[in-house]
Parts: sequence; structure tokens; C-alpha cells
Amino acid sequence: MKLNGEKIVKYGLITVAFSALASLLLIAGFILKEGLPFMLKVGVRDFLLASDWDPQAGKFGIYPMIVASLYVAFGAMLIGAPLGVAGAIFLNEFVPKPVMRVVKPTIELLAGIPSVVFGFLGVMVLAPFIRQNMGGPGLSVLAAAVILGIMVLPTVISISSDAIGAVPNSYREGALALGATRWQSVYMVTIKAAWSGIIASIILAMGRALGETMAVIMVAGNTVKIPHSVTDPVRTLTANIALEMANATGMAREALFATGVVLFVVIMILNGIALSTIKTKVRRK
Amino acid sequence: MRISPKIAQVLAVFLLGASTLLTLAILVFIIVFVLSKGLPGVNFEFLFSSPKDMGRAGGIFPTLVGTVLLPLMALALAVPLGVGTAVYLTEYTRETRFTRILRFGTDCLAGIPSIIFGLFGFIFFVVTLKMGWCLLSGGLTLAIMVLPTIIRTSEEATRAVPNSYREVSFSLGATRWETVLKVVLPNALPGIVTGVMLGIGRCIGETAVVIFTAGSSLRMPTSAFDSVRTMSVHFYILAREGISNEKAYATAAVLVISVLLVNLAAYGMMHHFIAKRSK
Amino acid sequence: MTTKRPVKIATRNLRVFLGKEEGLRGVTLNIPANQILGIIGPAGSGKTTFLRALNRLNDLSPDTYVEGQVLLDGQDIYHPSFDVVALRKRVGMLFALPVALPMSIFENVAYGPRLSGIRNRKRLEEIVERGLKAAFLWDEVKDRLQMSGLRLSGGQQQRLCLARVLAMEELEVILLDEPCSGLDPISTSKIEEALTILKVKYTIILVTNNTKQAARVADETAFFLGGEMVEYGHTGKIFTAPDDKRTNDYVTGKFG
Repeated sequence: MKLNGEKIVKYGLITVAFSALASLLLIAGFILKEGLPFMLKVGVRDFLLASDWDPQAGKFGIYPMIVASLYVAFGAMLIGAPLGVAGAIFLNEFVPKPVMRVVKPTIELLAGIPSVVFGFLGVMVLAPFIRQNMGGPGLSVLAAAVILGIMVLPTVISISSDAIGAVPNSYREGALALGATRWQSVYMVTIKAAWSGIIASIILAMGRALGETMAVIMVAGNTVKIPHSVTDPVRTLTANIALEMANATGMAREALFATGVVLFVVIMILNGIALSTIKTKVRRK
Repeated sequence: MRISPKIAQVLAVFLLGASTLLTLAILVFIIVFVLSKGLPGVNFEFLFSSPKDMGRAGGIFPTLVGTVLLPLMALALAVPLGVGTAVYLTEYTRETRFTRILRFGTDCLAGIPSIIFGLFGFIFFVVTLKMGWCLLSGGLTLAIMVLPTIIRTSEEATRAVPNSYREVSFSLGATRWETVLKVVLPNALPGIVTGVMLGIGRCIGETAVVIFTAGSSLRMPTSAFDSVRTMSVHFYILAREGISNEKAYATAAVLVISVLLVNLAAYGMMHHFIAKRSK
Repeated sequence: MTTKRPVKIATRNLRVFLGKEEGLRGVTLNIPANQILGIIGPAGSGKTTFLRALNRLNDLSPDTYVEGQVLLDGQDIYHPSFDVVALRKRVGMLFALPVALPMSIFENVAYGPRLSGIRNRKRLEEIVERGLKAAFLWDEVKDRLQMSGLRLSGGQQQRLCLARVLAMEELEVILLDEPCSGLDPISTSKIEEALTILKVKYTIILVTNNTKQAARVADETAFFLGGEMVEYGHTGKIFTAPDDKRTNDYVTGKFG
């Protein structure tokens, strides 16, 4: 009868709805399964804080890579965050709506450019520029930071813009009615109100910067050394995984999975913070 | 020294506007640069002939095939799963702890960087399931990667269908599933298709996952268990190994145009959908 | 004296809870077949809740709870074994805002019959034509059946909704929830005219905000107030010499 069919459909759909959660658990499970034993064997402290990375010789310290990832990601945020937030403010507050409706999707469209293309341009245009004007091999922390900064711009602009757009007009009007200029209403009221959304966008972008692989491989230089200047070449955690995976066996492979575990955990924490910031804001409304 | 508010505003607007223009300029520059250097190398032969000499000469046809087949396979799995999840969340339940857990899982999945997907696909499909580097491994991994996107856009699309349509359908004696098939899904289709196109765009641009799961064979795939190379992987290899800058730029041009076209189609569809709704 | 008609729908102490609110407090009513019952009362009096209980449409609202009985031809429709889907094919509904499904006029009317499994194109065409004629819409749309139903005017859309309901071969009862509230006088009179003709074949229950409409069209009228049915009887009596003072106040316009 029709009604029995309905029950089958409902339970079928529940099963399907599990797929995302199940995939997540599968991924987490396998990455941990491959990486955790290694970390326990070698000792988390030695793994994270040792500076020798030489798989052939059984040395698996990823400290230089951690430093590299952090430098590159922070550098990317130094470039991407101010530019992105500025862009979001400008587009939302100082530009007529029809223009914003064209420009914002255009920027988001451009975000679809594959990371390898960004990386390639970094190699062909940015790296030589750095090499000529600042010394060093060109492929460096700076190059990676700049390229990544550009790559996360759409993320920052998009999410910040949404946060700013969500500020009720009554807030703005309230400030303007008190004699504020548009700019004053923006920095005194609107930005404050949208602040958590803006911060969330920066945190999310940071997560993206930490997780980026291909572009970084192409422009960061990939030398395993703690950088002393922005023109030094470095290898990030992601680059390490991608580069070494092909030839890694046994302990070396486990080490790379362990690196994956570190990345996974850090980025999940960052995303979690960002998402909960947005959600608390929505709930408070 | 106090600046008058009016002057402060002018300065602020100038700086903000300059930042925005800089952003736009950089992004536009990238596209223009790639296209100008790459398009001259793109012609019918380039698109439809096979690469010779590791890509130093010849075309990119097998990679085109790979670039089409992989997203297709990924979506063949992700769309039923994603739309099904969306239908369940919208039509068959209300917000409970269970649905919150499901959403949490989806959000987490969405935030995983592609290198981790690559690692997972490698260890799970290629090694543990012994499928080796092939279309199937790549397609399945990409499916999981785009699943959150499909779920999100499909859910938005199904929620946008007015409740009055559902009521009418029920009052005419339809079951819930019949209502979903005959009224909700047809009306949510534009939104769902938009999500699918966004998913395609992501797959086309994805490199790390593909290398780790589908390999990089330059041969034309004849079965789901053959390794394939996509355009983005081919481009990466050409660039990294310094095989041919000319071919690299040309491949990049095709790659960029493909992604732009797919995303443009997605946005166009979304706007058409929104315009139709507000009639 | 009115001929004794068989009771089509009877409610026995029907109570409906919407969440914690009691939207309907114990309504007991016998509705005779083949006539128009008008239900009048101010907003929030439970008229719509009552109507929606008759085709179990309030099952769709998550926190609704129903007590009491609703008997269709003597069978309790709230009994667990009663087929809800079949119920809704026998008891059709028109809503206050005309909701044409985003399909062609043909597909709108054919929607119900298709659900019943009718696939034969010729038979569907017959059914659609019959339904549209019974709703007095056929002449206006017969040449453009493939046009989207959304492009009809408000009055035409409402008649389309009527045709949709009439196309159900199992139809016995028509429920109307303020069907003319958004329509111009001409469309309203067309629908009222249709109802007077349809009552010969169907039992019609019409909830309306417009007391004059009830006076025009309904054979019997029930007055609802605050979730209760205050009074029920022959329309003439309700409007000229009601028993209850509250009914009198409402129909004379003292409140509403």
C-alpha cells in the first residue's frame, strides 16, 4: 500500500542523509589510523619540535614546516585581511547597490580560478620580481604569502560582506540621524555590529591558507629550513605531504599521515571557532 | 591635530576604494595575463589531439576527457546523496538534535582542505580497497569533496519552494514522496543545478586530490579503472617539471575559461531562478 | 419544511490543539449531504482549524493534536486504519489564496487524476475538460491549456483550483476556506454560481469572512466564536432570528 512505500522512502532518505557524516568519520578515522600510531611511536614532542627532516635517515621532525606554514598563513592574512575587509566595507557601504551586485559576484567568480594557476603566475611573475628587487631565490615566504593572500581575498570579501550586509539599516540610520558622516556611521556602528562575522571570515581564510597545497608548492621554494627572512625559501606542511608522498614508504608515509593529522586538527579547530562565532551572533539576534 | 569628519571620510573612502580596485585589478590581471599568453596556443588541434613527448608538443585531448569524466563520476554519486539529504532535512523532519549533528558533519566536511581529501582517497580507495590510481578512486573522493556543496545548495533550493504548493499537493491526495517528486524537486531544480555547476567548477580546478587518487596517466581512459590526468594536473606537471611554458600557458587558458564558463552558468542560472521567483 | 438529507460529515466533540493552544473546543455538528454549509465568524474563531480537520490537513502541522471524532459517511477519519490519502481524494479543498501549481493549466487539473494512476492521454483530456467546464473556466482557457497556470488572473486561478478539485473522480465533499477573499465581485459571483450548481452533486462547506456571501449562498450556516460553535441552523433563521445574542451581534455587524 502507498503508506508502506512512504516508510521505505523515509528510512531510505535517513540512510542517505548519513552520507556526509559517515564520510567525515571515515576520513577522520583513516587519517588518524595511519598517522596516530606514528605520533605515539616517535613521541608527539619530538615529531612537532624536532628540526631534522630526513626520512632516509629516520628523522621526522616537522618543526621547520610548522614554522613555514604559520609564517606563510600569517603573511597571507596580513595581505588578504585588510584588503578584503576594506573591499567588503567599500562595496557594501560606499557603492550603489547595482554596482555591488555586479562586482561582488565577479570577485567570487574569480575565486574559482584553480590554485595551480595562481601558483604558476607566482612563479612566472612574482618570484622573478622578488628575486630582482629583494634578493634570494624569489621562491620564498614572501611569494607564498602574497599569492595566498590574493587567493583568500574572495573568501574574506564574501563573508565579511555578508556580515556587513546583515547589519540592520536602523543601526546606520540611527548614527546618521545623530549627525555622523557615512564613514563615521560605518566605523562607529556597522563595523562593530558586523565584527564577529568579519573575524569569522578572517579565521576561515586563515584555515584555507593553512590548507592550501598546490600554489604553495609552486612558489614557496620547498627547502626544509627555518626561515630567517621573508625571502628565504620554505616548505609548508602541506607541501611536505604532497612532495614526499610519492616516494614515501613505511615510517616515512606514516609521518606524512601524522602531518595530515596535525593539519586536520588545526584547521578543524579554526573552522569550528569561525563557525561558532557566526552562529552565536545569529542566535543572539 | 584633529581631522574634520568630512575629510576623514574622503580619506577613508579613497583608501577603501583603492583597496577594492587593487583587488579587482589583481584578479582581472591574472585572468587577462593567462589568457593573453595562453590563447594563442589554443586551437582545434590543441584541444583534440593527444600530447606528444610528455606534453612538449601535441594537444591535451586525453586530459580534456579526464576533466569531463572525473566530475561526472563525482556528481553521479554526490547528487543523489546530496539531494536526498536535502530532501530529508527539508521535507521529512524538523530541527532536532539528530539534524543538528548531520549539519555539523556536513559543515566539517566542507572545511577539510583538499590535501587531506587526497590523503584519504589515497589510503582508502587506492591502497586499502586496492582500486589503484584510477577514475573510480578519483571520482569517489571528489564526490565526498563536493557533497557538502550539493547538500547546502539543494537544501536552500528545496526550502525556497513555497509551502502552499505542498499543501495543495497534499490536499489533492498526494503522499509526501509524490509531493517531493512532482512539486518540490521540479521547482527546486534551478537551485540544485546551480549547486551542481559550482561542484563541477571545484572539481575542474582541483589538483591535489586528483594526483593522489587518479594518478597522472596521459593515456585515454578506457575503463573506470584506468588512471587519468585532468587539465589541472597536466598543467601542474608541465609547469613544475618545466616541460613547456608555452603548452602550460595554453592549458592554463583552457582551464581558466572552463572554470569561468561553468561558474558564469551557475550564477546566470541562480539569477534567472531568483528573477522567476519574484514575478 | 426541508427534506431530511442524510448526514455526510458528522463531528463529535471535535477538539484541536495547536501546540498548547486549544484552537477548537469540542464542536459537535451534523452536516447534511448535497447542500452548502456556510461557516461564519471573526478571525481566530477556529473556522479554518475546523475545516482543515475535515480532510486531516492539520496532520501536516507538527504540533497539532486532535481529539474527538470526524465521521465521513459514518466512518471515523481519524481512526489509525483510515487511509488519509484516499480521504483527501474524497474531500477536496480550496484555499484562500488561489495556488496554481507552476505547471500548465492542463497539468494543474490533471495532477490529482495522475496521482490516482490515470495515464491514458485521452482519458485525462476528458477529465480535464469536464473539470474546467464544471468550474466555469473551460470557455476562457480551452485554447491555451498548455499555458502556465500562473499566468491566469486571480479569479481564473481560483476557478482553476476548483477545476483541479472537481477533476477528482472520487470527490464527494468540497471544502472552501474564504475562497473569494482576494477576488473582485465578478469572479466572486462566478464562483458562487458554480457552488450553487455543484451542491446537487457534492456536499459543500464554505468558510467565509463575508456574512453576505453566506446569506447569499449557504443553505445552512454555523457561527463560530473563540473556538466554539455558537449556533447552527437554517441560514434564513441565523440571519433574521438567531437564538444566541452573540450570533445576532455578529450578523448585524456589531463586531467582526
